[in-house]
Amino acid sequence: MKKTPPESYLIFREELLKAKEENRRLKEEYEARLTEFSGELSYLREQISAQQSMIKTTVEYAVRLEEEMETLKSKVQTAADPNRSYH
Amino acid sequence: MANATLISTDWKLHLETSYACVLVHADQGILLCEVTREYIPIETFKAIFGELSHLIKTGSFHKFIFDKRALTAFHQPSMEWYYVNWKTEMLQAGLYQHRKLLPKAEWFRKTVEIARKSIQPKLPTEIQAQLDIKYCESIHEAIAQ
Repeated sequence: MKKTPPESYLIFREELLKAKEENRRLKEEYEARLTEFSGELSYLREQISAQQSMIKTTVEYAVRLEEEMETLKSKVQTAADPNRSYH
Repeated sequence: MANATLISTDWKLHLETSYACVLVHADQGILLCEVTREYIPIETFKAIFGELSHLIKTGSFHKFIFDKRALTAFHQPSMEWYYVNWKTEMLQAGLYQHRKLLPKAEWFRKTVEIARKSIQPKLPTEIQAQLDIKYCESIHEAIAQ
């Protein structure tokens, strides 16, 4: 006589298959979101790096302007000095 | 897309990515590239401009409108490549008018100006003389000018 598994076992097996399927789906979703976040993170890193580079360029320009201003100021002071000797 | 209203007229959407969209007005020989994100990575930037190059070389375009109002940062090597290499190459294909739209932020405009000062000498003067570059405040102004 062929033995048939008890009904509770069949229900349990069905639930197990459902759980495995849900586990697979969640894993796929997690990996997809991780890839998305990783992409977004590299995008933000590159954006921050570009902004830092913009700040660097601007600050270097401001420093150069400041130096030029100082040079010009000292030239003007020298030219305006009444004790300046032309000899 | 901010310029969706243009599509209802003679403008055709040629390309739409998550970073930019390209619209074409074939009759007037105008191309419009609207940046839709705050930053474009160099590889994406070059890919979009590669597509634009193909379009310009196979069509008849004289004006390029570059709407950069969505940007909050620019990648200087990308800008240099666009300014020196791309513009020179496209000039050979007949594209000589460039209209640019910048974000309103004064600090951004100043940074662009500073960056341009360092890039400009790299573009030969005979090429510069053939280019007509203007900054505009709206798409309508860029089309009209």
